[in-house]
Amino acid sequence: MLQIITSIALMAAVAAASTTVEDVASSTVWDRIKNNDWRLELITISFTLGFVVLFKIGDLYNKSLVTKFLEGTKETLEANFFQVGVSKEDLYIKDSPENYSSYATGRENIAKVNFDFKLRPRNNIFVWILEGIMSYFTEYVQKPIDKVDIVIQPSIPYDNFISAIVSKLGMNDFRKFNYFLSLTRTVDSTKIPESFVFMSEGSEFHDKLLTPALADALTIEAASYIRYIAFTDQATEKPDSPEGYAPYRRIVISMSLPSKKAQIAQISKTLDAIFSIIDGIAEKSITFKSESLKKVAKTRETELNKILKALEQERLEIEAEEKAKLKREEREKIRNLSPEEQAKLEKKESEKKQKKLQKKQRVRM
Amino acid sequence: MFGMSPAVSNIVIMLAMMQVSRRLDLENPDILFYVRVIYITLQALTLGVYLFTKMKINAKNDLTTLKYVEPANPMSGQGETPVITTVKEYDLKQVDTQIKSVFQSLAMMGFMHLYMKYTNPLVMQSISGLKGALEANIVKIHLFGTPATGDLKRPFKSAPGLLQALSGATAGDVKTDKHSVESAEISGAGGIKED
Repeated sequence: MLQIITSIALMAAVAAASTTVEDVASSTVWDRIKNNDWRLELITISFTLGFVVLFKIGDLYNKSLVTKFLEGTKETLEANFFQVGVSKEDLYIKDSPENYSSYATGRENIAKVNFDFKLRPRNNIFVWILEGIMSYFTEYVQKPIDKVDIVIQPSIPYDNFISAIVSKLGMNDFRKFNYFLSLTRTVDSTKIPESFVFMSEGSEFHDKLLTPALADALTIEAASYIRYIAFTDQATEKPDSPEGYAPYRRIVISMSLPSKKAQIAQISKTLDAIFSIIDGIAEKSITFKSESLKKVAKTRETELNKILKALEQERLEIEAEEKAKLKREEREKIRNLSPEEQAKLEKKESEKKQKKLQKKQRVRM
Repeated sequence: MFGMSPAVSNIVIMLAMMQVSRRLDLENPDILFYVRVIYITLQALTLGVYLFTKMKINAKNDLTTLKYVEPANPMSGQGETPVITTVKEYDLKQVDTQIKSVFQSLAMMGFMHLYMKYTNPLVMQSISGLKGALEANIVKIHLFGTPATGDLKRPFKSAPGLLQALSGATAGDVKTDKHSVESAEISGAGGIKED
């Protein structure tokens, strides 16, 4: 686009310069500046300025979204945590115009809470539009949305399990991008609004984790911004090594960044409910039957065996390939020998074969 | 259409349109103009049908859970994938694929007509888009109110491709039986890297 504009401007400039050589020679520097065609420069500068202004607007808007959310949840967080924000002064860190992070720590039973914001690339309007269009036509590009993942890491020991309350809007994608969700069974329930489902490793988990406070925080409309609330010990991306299956217990609350005050208030309520569930687990008022936990352990084992088997398969394939390579090299060597030597080798080989055959025959007799 | 299978009626229409295009003087700019107008109108109508269907789906907002197993894709080397979605989302996806195919055919026609200067395809292809729209399962359900049972039961069975029909393979169909869905559901198929 810019190239087309510049080339048009250049052509115009050439056409305008139809003065004689004498004219040019006799003109002063000021004359030359005055007569020069500055259209190209003007277009470039205004284009750049426009981009900078749009960048700043998008950047500020993104920042305001993050601030609004963090300010809205601040009250709940400050009631729970000693430190809210990345330091005493800063509530968040801006990693880039689209990525922000925040943090909270200092509470019984909880080691830390991480906030990971991923926003629409409003700063770069071209990327934003392009991604929006591309995401419609190909599934390789994700539709840009404003997203925040809150990851709560408890500091108490408890059993491994996966249990989640998932919004029905886009639940297949959540399963696609979250390994731990794809280990669970999806169950409809009348205990939660019909816009949500349970995804868990056993009905006991989601039944016991749905405290009245949490049920109260979920409304039918909340499914439009809460993506999922998951208790998990397994990875988000499918592990490609056995180490990746080591449990990492955390609670992930993923949502499309809400901007309305009422929605943010609802999130605060949800956070409160989750914190008290963690307390319940710590106080052993929420415990699970050993059968359910055995089943969970079994799932982990099967999954781990899958990767071990795959790795073994890979190793065997590499070995077979190496063997084939050695053989090929040997054949190459023979081909590079002189004809006499080749004949000699062949003779030797055939003798060897014959000897083998004879041996066999002898055994048979 | 009239009790004919879509494939048969497609061929009939194509033959008929071939005769029409042969009798039309496409060199005449007036006729060319009308052909273009008719083509664009019909494409717009097609899109309109799909967008209206989309509106209806959104209005209905059917959040019933729908589970099925998509067949393995030998092209991408992907195994069987469980799909857990809602009727609404499934329907929207169906409409979106149809809309995409309209854009695809528009792009093709743009290339053929504007770049290669062929006019015949413009005549021949004008109706097929709208016909396809009116015959699409998803439009039948939401626009004509046909109950979603039998052939229209979600997930829709894909029409066998040419290659499948030739090789007689039957593996490439969606599975909805309880056993395959339940085992695929917890098989840990997810977790691909986001962006």
